[in-house]
Amino acid sequence: MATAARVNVNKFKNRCFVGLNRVEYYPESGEMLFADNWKDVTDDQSRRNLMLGYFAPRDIDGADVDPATALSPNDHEEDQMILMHHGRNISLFDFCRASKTAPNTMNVMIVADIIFHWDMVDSYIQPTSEETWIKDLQQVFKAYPKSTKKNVYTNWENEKKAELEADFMPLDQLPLDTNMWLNKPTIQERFGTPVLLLGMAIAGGMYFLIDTQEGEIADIRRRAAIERQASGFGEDFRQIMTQVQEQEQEQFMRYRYLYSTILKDIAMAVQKSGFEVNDFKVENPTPNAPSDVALVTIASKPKAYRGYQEQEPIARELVKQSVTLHEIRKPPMDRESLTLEGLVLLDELDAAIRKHSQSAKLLEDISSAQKPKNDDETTAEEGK
Amino acid sequence: MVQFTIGLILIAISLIFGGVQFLENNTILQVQQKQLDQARSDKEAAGRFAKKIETIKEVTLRKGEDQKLNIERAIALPQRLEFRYTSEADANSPENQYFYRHNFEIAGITNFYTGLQLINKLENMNGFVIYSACFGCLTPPSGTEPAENEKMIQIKGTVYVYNPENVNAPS
Repeated sequence: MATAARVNVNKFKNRCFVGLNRVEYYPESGEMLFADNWKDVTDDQSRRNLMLGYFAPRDIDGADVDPATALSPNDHEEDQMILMHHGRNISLFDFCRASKTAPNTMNVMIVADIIFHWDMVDSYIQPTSEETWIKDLQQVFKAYPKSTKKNVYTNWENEKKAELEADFMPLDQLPLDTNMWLNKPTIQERFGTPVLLLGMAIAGGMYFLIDTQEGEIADIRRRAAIERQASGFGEDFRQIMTQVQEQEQEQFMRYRYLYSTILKDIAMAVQKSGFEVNDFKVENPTPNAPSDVALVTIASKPKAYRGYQEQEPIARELVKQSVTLHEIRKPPMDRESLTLEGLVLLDELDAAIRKHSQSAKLLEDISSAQKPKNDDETTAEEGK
Repeated sequence: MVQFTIGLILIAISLIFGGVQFLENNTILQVQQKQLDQARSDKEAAGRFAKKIETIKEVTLRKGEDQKLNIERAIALPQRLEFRYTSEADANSPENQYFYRHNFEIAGITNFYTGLQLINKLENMNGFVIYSACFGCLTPPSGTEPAENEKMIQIKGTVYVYNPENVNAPS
């Protein structure tokens, strides 16, 4: 058995139950009213949120009856007009379309001037009155086995209702379901306005977000332009810097002042060792790249030194007399002259010269500070 | 019904176009933020670089000062020595718009003392870097007769030049 979704009866502010010849009306504020016609007890204001419950047994051919016809069998044109005018503000509930009950259960509804009951087979309607409804209800119960669970929904009161074996509940607890609700609004109708408002809110939010973002982008651009302008180099800054870095990387200029020192040292070593020199050369072994070493090539006069016994001592003496040559070797050359290659470590030499310069400057400063003092002492002695 | 449809369309359009625009802007924002950070670090680096530029200018030759006659005059080239460029950079080339360098050679007959003085002078002049110095390793040209203490000398090196029109540290 498929169970239809439940509807909370309390969601409707005004509730009107249309019986056979009488209506029972529960306004939002106020007491229950009885009237002949539902139009008499409702006005435009109350119809804006009205549950209109009625009982429309199916036609002889089994077709559902038009709500307006069921509400006013004699003059239903006005009803049609009102229903059309208010649209879905008036929620129409045909109780004859109630879902079947669970097995061994029956529900009864006593309202207006009828007893309406339904079970797991069908629904039934019969007239009653405030005076006779207890007896009428007893008659209805007789048609069911004693074990059947009986739920009675009514706001009517009677002393004898306690004698009946049934659960009495107020109409507020009436089990409405969506099968009864003829003009139940679709999802689109129910959520139309909220969705539109949500859409507008999202659109507005997006506009605000994007507008804020674009403002932020413009602000960052402006700040970046100001920073670039403040750097003072313009757009060429990076390019110039790269070129300078490249120049710096080469570091060609780092040891440029050492060549004369090396040459002087080699010349003095040649002289002191008595090496019979023909030519000598100091060079960067890799002219297109900076180097931390310098190569010294010294060649003797032809046939000046013959054999290992003459060449070895003079080579040793040359290294001994030089302060810049780190090591020396005899390259494999087939020449009449003795050719020696020496290696100068420029970084070590540079550090040594800088250290020496600092020491020399310090000594110079000390001596220049002492000189005036000594001069003063001499003058004093002469005075004595 | 219409409200629902319009609302859905509005939500869809807002989310799709707005979302795309938001992501696009977000990417731009990140790029711009990086550029701003870069500009800030550039500004800091520029401060340090300005000092560096001044230092570089102090140790390199100005464009124009690298002409052969100017150099010969500046180093007071002794007689019987010749200065020449072995390779010259095109100062008008775009890649040489800031810095460039030439290779030079000084060769001729002189004594060791004069040669050493010349090397010493080159070492202390802006822009000159020697990478080879040789005494006696070349044969004198025919017809020349060196004195007893004279030899052929050959000095090779590089001249570094900057273009003051393009390399200007901001004031």
